[in-house]
Amino acid sequence: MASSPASSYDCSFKVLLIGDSAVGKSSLLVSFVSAAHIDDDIAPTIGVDFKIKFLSVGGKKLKLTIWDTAGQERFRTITSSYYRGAHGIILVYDVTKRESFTNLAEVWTKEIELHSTNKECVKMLVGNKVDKDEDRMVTKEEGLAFAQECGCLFVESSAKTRENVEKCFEELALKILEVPSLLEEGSSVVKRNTLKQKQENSNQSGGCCQ
Amino acid sequence: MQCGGGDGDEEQEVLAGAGRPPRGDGDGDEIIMEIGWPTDVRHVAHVTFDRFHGFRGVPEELLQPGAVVDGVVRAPSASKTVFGVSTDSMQCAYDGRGNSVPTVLLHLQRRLYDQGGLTAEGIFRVAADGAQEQYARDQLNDSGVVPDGVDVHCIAGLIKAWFRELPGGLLDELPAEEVTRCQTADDCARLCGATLPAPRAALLDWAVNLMADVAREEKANKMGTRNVAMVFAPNMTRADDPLTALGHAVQLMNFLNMLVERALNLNMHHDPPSFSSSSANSSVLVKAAAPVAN
Repeated sequence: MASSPASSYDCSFKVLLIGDSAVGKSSLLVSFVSAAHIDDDIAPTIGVDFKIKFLSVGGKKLKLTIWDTAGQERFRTITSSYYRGAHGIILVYDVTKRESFTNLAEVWTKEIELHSTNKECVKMLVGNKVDKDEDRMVTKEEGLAFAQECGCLFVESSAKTRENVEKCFEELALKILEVPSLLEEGSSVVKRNTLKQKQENSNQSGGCCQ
Repeated sequence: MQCGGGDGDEEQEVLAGAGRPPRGDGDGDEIIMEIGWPTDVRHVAHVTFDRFHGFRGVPEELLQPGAVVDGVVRAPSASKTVFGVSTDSMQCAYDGRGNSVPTVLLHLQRRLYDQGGLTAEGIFRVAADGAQEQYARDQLNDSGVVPDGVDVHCIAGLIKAWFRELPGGLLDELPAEEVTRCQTADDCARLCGATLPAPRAALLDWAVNLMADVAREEKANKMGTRNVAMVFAPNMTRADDPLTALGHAVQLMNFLNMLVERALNLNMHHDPPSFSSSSANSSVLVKAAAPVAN
């Protein structure tokens, strides 16, 4: 029983990846979850996709359900419904594409305001593709300034070399743990599930004895 | 025409309102305004409109400045905007394959190719700057021309937006279950030929060849047939329910993928330049009437 999924973690959080298409959202996720180096070509995401990762942060075992959304404009009506109940939102831009950075202010922060239901949800700004430093168009200072302006955490990463990939998700998780309302929400899901499982187990064993 | 009708209604309401005595005014004097028939009518000009030549026969003094370019009257569209309008009311021209396509798309395509868009990494996938795209769109609506200095991702974004906003969705007339049943590229082409009305089939043929031109540069732009089909497909269906739209988009993606691969193969065998005028037999769509070889 000790290894059953419900008891193997303390909290469960929902994290959302958003940003323009082709900035590397799926690559970040694959890089983080499978700890593998990314080959150059990951196809565009259709609609939404999610992956689950278990990790230990701050002495707690966490289950992160990370939703990867399509950046394509046509999918915005679909992806908007995934903001609901998110504990953390990762806004990704490509440091070699200025448009993907300006669109964060013009498009993506507005999407969050419109659709996010958790007012205390933790936001993280990620400037991806720092491995292409020779093509860089957005400086680290600009990223930092924007992050401060909208109250986000900030990190620059490379899904390709895995630089700062783990740091990005771990810092986000740490911050979520520091917000009491989010911590409570994330833990209550686990409690509910554990309770349900216990009931099911007792029912089963009851049936067995008879 | 609808536009004119709407204006007329408004005008009538205004007139009726003016004819009525103001409320609360107890006077009760009714003012009846009589409008006579026009007299002394002369036939000055006979003006016609069609999609390819625009307005013909407009007297010179009535032409808007800028309407005549190189001695040719530039045909305005019957509608004020170029997005979200049925192709029926838009000015069209023929592409190199004989497809009748709105001139705005041909203009965007020309600009995309001239500015090296085909070899730009992630073309049709990378988003343009939102403000720039809005600016370019406004200019396109006002003057029919993309302003200089607009980058290739913005132009590509406008092409996708044009399809996204097309009333009825380009491929929504294809029955979903038939689309699912298509196993080969020829199945797809046959289905299009049999079910799509001619204007839509022409648009699709144009779009598929555009996608093939993109996919041909895969080494440079990283947009193979699958990738380019994936970013176009969701813009060609307008199902309201997001989940239906999503499922349908996946089917259409496979469908488009097959058509683009077919266009690439056909062009390889026939080897026509992308804008040749005599490539009717390499059209990706099998016309319903034409006998199908194989």
